[in-house]
Amino acid sequence: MPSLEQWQEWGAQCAAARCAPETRAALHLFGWQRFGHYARRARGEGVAGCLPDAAGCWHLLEARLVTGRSRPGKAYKRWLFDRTAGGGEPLDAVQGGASLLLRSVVRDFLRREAPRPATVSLDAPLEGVEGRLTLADLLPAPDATGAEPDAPRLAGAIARAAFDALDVRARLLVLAKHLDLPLYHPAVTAAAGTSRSRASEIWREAFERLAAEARRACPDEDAGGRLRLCLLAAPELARLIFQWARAEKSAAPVFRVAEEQA
Amino acid sequence: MKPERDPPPGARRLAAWLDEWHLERRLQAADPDAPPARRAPIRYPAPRAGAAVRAGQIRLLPPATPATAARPVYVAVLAPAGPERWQVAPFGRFATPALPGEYATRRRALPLSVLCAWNAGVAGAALLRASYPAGRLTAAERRACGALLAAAGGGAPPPADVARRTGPPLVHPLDPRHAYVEEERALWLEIGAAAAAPGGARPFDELRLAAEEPEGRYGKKGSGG
Repeated sequence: MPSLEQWQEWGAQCAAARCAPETRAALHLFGWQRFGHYARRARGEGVAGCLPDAAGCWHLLEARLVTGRSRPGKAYKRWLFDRTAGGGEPLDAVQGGASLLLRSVVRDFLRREAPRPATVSLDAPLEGVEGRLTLADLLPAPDATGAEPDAPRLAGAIARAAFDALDVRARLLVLAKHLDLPLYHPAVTAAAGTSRSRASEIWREAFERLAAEARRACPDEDAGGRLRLCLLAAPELARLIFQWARAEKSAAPVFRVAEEQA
Repeated sequence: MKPERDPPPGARRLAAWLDEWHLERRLQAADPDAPPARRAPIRYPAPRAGAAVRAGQIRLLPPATPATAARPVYVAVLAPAGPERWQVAPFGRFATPALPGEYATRRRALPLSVLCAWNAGVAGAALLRASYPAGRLTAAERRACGALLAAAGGGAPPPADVARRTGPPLVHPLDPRHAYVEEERALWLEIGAAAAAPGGARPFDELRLAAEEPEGRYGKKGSGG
């Protein structure tokens, strides 16, 4: 691993190629080990054969992060060394920062070297996405909502059932999002009495509840039809919650933040 | 057998973005030694010589909050937003635009691939003076950002040449981009908290010097924020 002095030598030079041979070798080894570690964890052992050599890994970092030819183009180096001001061991701060930089370079490398197939499957479940969602679910055709004459009435009933089933905490989080507030805003999480990480889950569960109500209301409808109803019902649910919140004491802090941010 | 369907507009771009998102999740779980994000804000670095802030600049924020220490966050300085305040828009962490308010710049530099107009906010001049100049917006990027901000504010939709380079609409409540939006918005929550913290805007070079003195001017260790 490079020593702090070797990192500093690289920081002062425009590239590892201009550093002393020992420094260059240490940087290349660091880059190669981190690059391989990340790539294998992201894409499996099979990726090892297409990875660059040690000098290539380091070159990718220097080439992909530079934002211009002059010195300001290498501002990322100053960012890296200023991480040491946050406390702790300077070498750990620099090394940890360099790992984070390499992580983004590896992501970019894998995206470009192992790109997605040219054809996009609309109906295949998306990898790494909860709930077996498909691209067709996420990008419904613009005319997909409200085609059936009875849809608005059904969507209203679904929204009402979901509203009745949601607790105050979930309603407040849906309200916050409806008012375009960050779910992680301290005033929002405090009003809802929850943590940052849990806030996203509760918000998500509110719409899973909506989907469950759609299944209950329309058991014979296919998945596409239920999705259309849910997309109609979602704004109606937000409207019901907004109406409720205007007379709800616990919603006052959420409205206050919205006013401050307006 | 299901009939072939034309993919809706943006499907390919959304698939590419989801691929990046998924890769990012796996890579985060694979960190060998990256330190965990700090809970408390640290200090801003001292202002840099010749660091006058101007509209059109691209600046790299100092690693002064968990979000800005976790990756280099570049921002485009858009316009003054009052005394000692500037409207800025961050560049995103991915190479593919996620949302209609994100614009693919087509720059070669990975950290400047996507300009996130939707996440524009107001930054204090102290923070920007402590940031590192890193380049300039092109005229096309300024125009695109202006058009996206206007559209987000209820104005006309962006022109076709801009819209072509933006992400697909966010419709589904369970779309993973909602999680991404919340993560990205945390940048501003942290910057606000850092500025509001006692000593939050104190230059950390000054604190470092003080800590080296036998009788620190700022009292006991840790009281400097």
